[in-house]
Amino acid sequence: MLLKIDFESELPIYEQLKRKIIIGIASGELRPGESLPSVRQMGEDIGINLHTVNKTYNNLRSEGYVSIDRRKGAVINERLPEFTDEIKENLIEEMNYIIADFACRGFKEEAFLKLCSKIFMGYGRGK
Amino acid sequence: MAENIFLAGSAAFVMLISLVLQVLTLNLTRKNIYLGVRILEEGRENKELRTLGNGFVKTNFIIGLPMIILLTFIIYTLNNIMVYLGSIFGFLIIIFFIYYYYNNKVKILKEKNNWLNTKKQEIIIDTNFSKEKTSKALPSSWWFIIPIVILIINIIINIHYYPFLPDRVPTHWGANGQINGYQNKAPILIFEMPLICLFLTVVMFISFKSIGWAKQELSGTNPEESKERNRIFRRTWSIFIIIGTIALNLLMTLGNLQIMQVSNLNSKASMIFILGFSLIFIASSIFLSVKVGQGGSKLKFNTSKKQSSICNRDDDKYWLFANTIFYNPEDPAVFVEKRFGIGWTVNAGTTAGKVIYAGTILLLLVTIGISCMSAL
Repeated sequence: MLLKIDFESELPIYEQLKRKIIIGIASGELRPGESLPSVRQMGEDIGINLHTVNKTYNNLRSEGYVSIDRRKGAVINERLPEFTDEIKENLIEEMNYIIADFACRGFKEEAFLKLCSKIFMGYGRGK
Repeated sequence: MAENIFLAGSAAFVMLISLVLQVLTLNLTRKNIYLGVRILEEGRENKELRTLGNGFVKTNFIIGLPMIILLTFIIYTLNNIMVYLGSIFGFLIIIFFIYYYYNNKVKILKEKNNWLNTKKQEIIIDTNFSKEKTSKALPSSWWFIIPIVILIINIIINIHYYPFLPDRVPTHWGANGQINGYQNKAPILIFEMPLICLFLTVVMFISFKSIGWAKQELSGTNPEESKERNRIFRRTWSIFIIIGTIALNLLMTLGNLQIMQVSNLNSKASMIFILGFSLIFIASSIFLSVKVGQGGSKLKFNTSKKQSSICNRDDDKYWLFANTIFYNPEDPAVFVEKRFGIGWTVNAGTTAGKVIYAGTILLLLVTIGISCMSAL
């Protein structure tokens, strides 16, 4: 999978990397059982501190997206994380803010829903 | 051949090759690098930039060629190894400063035009790159068994022939074939050449491995194609190193057999072998450099699917000393692609990088020291 990292973004790099990997899983570019590059490899390729990559991998593990295998490193889980109430609450809160920002800028509901379903289409799993 | 003609001739050759390489490198770098400075890929055709490039080429020849003639003449008249080394080093420093001057000019131009001064500073990587690299892109390390076998055969031959050696063994020959160095017969002779071979093979092996370890660098304009370029680039130089190591070991075997008096090549034949090897080695590396380019930039591809997504990160701040030394302590990568030149360099911000720099400087000083001592 090709992934982009923006060094000037307000979002910290470990968070960007986490999001890119989750997007990769949703779009099917990263398959269950596939192993991610080792912490060192990922750090070298992007040119960032190994702690940053470690943080991403640990976050992904605690969220249930990957498991850390002693031999293969970080591996995408066969069974992806369940939709718990806590996660739902967090995501809704996130959505709330995003929609608020859209609304403030005069974006119409219909257009927004269209955009949402278009994005959803890209992530086959969502269907 | 007289000693001074040999010295003058080889110095002229080395200086000329360095000059030509420096000029050629201008267009062998990646498309988004100009005279060591990162620019936009599209910006390469910029008029002011081209003018600087032309100036760089002209200055190199206007200053370089008369210098070569002058220094060659000095070496020819003085016939001294220290003058020889001094002239070559001096020459390299002078042409480096030509590069330095023009590199700085490009930096000023870049600043003036605000190139790459964008809000987003993105890089793109491929998570499969490391897996593909080890599985299919690079030849196996097991090829290095061949030089090791050659080395062991040498030791076996040496043990067998050692008893027949005279008390004083000729071990060094001058350019004209005259013996100019002897060693007393001692068991060290059995291992001397094999140890030198081992050292060379280890250095070559580390270079070979570093190609695999080097950081991936993908162009945002067309990541898939740039990945393929990179793969061919690495593969080409890996194979070159393997063949070079084997050939070098065979050449050293000839020297070894000569010292152990197993073979008795005349001076002309030895000269042909040594010069032939050096010429083929240099010619083929220049040929590959021109054909493949840095990071595979000179390879011909029919660009059908162009995925256009601009992502450029201006990482010039990590390149010091006219963009020749990479220093980024945050980046754990030890080996990175050179900015101006073909091949890789080390990240001086890492511990391993510092050790390599220190080791190289030490080795250089020791070599110069030995050359000077033996000349006294």
